[in-house]
Amino acid sequence: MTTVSETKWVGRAIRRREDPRLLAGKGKYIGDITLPGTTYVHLVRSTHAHARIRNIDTTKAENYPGVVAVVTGEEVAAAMKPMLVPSIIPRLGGELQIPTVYPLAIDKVLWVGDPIVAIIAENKYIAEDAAQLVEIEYEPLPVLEDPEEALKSDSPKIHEDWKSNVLWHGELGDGDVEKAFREADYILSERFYGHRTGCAPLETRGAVASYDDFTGLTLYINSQRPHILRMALSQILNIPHDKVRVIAPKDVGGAFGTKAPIYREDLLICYLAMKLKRPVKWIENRMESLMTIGQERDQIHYLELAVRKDGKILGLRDRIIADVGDGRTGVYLGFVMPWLGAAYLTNAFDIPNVHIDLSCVVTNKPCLSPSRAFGEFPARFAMDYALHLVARELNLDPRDVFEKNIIKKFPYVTATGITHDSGDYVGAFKTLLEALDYDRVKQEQKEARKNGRLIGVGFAMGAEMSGIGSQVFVAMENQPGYGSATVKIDTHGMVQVLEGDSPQGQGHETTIAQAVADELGVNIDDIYISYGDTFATPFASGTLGNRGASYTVSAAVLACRKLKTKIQKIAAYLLGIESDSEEFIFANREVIWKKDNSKRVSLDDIADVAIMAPTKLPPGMEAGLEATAYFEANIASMLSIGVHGAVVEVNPKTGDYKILRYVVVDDCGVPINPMLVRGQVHGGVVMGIGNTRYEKYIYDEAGQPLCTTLMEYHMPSAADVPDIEVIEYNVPTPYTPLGTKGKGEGVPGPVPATLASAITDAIDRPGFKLLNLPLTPESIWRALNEDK
Amino acid sequence: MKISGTYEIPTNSTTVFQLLTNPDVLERTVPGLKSLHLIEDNIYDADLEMGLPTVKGRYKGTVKLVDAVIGEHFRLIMEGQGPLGFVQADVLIKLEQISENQTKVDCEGEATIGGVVAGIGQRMISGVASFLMGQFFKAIRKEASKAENVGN
Repeated sequence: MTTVSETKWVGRAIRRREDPRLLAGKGKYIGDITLPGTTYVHLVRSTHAHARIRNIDTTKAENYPGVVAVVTGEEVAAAMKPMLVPSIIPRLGGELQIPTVYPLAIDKVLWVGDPIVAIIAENKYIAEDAAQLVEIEYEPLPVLEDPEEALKSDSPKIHEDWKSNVLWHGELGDGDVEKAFREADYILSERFYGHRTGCAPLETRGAVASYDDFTGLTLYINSQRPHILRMALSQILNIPHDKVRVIAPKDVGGAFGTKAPIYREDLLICYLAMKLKRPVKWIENRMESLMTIGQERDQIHYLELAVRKDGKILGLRDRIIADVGDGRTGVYLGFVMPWLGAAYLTNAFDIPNVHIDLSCVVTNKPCLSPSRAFGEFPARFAMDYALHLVARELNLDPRDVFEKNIIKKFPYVTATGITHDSGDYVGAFKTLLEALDYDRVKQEQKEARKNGRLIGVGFAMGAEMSGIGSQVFVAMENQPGYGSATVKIDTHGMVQVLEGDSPQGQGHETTIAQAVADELGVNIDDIYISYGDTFATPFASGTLGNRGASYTVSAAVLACRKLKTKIQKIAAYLLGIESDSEEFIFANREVIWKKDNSKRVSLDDIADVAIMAPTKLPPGMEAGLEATAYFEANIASMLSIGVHGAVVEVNPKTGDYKILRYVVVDDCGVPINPMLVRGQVHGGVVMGIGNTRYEKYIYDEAGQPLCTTLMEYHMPSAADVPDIEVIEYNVPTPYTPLGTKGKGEGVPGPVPATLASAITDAIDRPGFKLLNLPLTPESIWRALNEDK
Repeated sequence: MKISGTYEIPTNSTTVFQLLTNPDVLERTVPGLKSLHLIEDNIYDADLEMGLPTVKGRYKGTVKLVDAVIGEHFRLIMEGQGPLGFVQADVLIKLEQISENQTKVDCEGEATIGGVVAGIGQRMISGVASFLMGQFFKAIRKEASKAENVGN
């Protein structure tokens, strides 16, 4: 007699189910989708950062053999509403000026890369060649590259109908800040700058649209949020919702936030398919990608901390100026990121008195697009590095300053209104110091110094969002925060899960299956996951902000539980047992009675009865085995902590530094698949190191982007990063059914303060500080030589 | 981008001035210059091909000659636009005769390059600019020797 199997899938580091097809080159990406009769689009983009368009001559391009159509701004605008419809405008209070946005530039260009003319041709080569024949006359206008310049009242207005260049201004905070500063023993006051950087997914953006009068518009697009896009398309293009179908491909080659907004090109491609009644395909090239998306951070913080002499932070004031670019991208308008940076500024610290004044300023650069460590990258740098500077100034051990200020009681609501649900931040912090062997490193530092070697140790906290509940998300982005999933058992007893999100490499086919396998007592190979098609999946906001493991997995679990109630009733009826419905165990594809485990029914038999032979169901019971659940945590938001530490060695002659150790203590509640969690942490740290040390979207004074290839925008390779040590320190959250939380989104955040504090500790010279990112050998060398 | 350079031409400053402001000579000597036509006083229509091997841009625009004092100095203001971007340059050229048959030419100015060439070539562009200027003045030196020989 077999015993009840307790094979658990959650918690096991099984290999990703996605990988065999990806490793064999059989992934299906947007580039792989081509419909019969497809035409190809190439965009003529502005070469000026700010200019009036005097004339556009498309005659030669139109006459080029193989060109199907040449389209300019006014024609496209006439066919739709201004893109920023109310449903994709955040409602965060404050003062917001909304730009009028159409897919192509009309009369004026606002940044190098602003799309002006679309060439549609029989193939992409013809489209590119014909694009060279378009003649555009520009009248250059003054270029605004510096947000502090753009803030000045006598600056020219980028959006001429606005009263200033401030897209959004608002204040965040709570408590008695004046009192805190009056009572402070010491006030730290510094200007911190986090440069324009972010991400560069190797798969660029892409879309394939088709249209016919009967089925309407079908858009294949590598979007993180197909449902939201579908809703927006229907509204902007005035097409009934049932005639708009958005499908995200099965595989997306990384997004990191950049594929979450609603871009001007999305609308353009749809319009072209509707105009031409032929499929239209657009794949962004690398240069377009590097000059358009992935640009984030770009914040100046005038940060002040009111500190008691024992290192306790009594209050915080910050004036943030964010360079949001042209502000013309849907959903975020470039300002949601800096707003989040402000909202999460106090990180994992208990600072009751906070006042933040945030100005999001438009400049002649592309609009900020979300990027992993969403808005908080420069804020984490300013906050955590400031704590190290406080320790240095007050001659305290930075360990004690951190420990004194770390949040200890949960749930905790910050002065900016962010809810920390649960965790043990101090425990995680102490675990990091142990792992670093902090005291020994400090001892070794002294020894090394005698030999002329500069070694330093640094650390920082990262409280990263783990999805945002509707309480916050509805206001923030006009979108629900719930996770949604449908679980269906099919005629063969296989389990199909349909989720409303749309993963881009997170491994949902593995993790959701692990959770569902445990709930239904089936094997992971019995489960198949469907996503991306808005005609088949339940509505959801998309895969972003660490929502998967907290919200989406929980929805799948809840859907299973709804189904289990019905399955148990069927089992009891088939077994002829009087039983209430919670008396069965699900294991080995069987439903087993707890009281007598010889009484069991296979899931296949139950599926067969429920779907194929409903006459055998309990009288009156509805047929089918299918349930949908929408999961909303009973708390405004959840966060998961990651504590980073590094040991570095600095060469004071060159400013170069070597990362000798990099350690992360990580809490994700319950890891569904520890291998995937480690992968997320590794990837996040690498991205953080890239952003901190190598990557920068540079503009010259004329607003020309100087990093338009991966030669100039250098992302780290394996040779550029140290071994990353990850230590799990998991505290299950009581707010999700499995205790799981999301992980990965915020991981780059603590990297700059970790490295800056380690470098500063290594240099250990009064007055030496690193206030500007990136931390390149050059910037360190300059800082070293400036304060001499 | 700053442009600067000093070159020596083996002839007197008046001849150098004439060479440097003569459209026929320039058409022969400016690397990539396809044509130069006078459209009004001191303003020329120019057709220029310039760039790096993979991203050569063709620019159409104007060249203006201003603040000219024969044998002493002049300013060149160039503006060109093309499908891959634009070039703008404003260069002051000062002449100083250092001996009977030797003139020092000082170039000092600003250039802005926009579009694909700027994006791809930024690390190479100032090198390319000084290379092109070197090429140009080498050609001018030849023209000067020719002029000297004709004069003799």
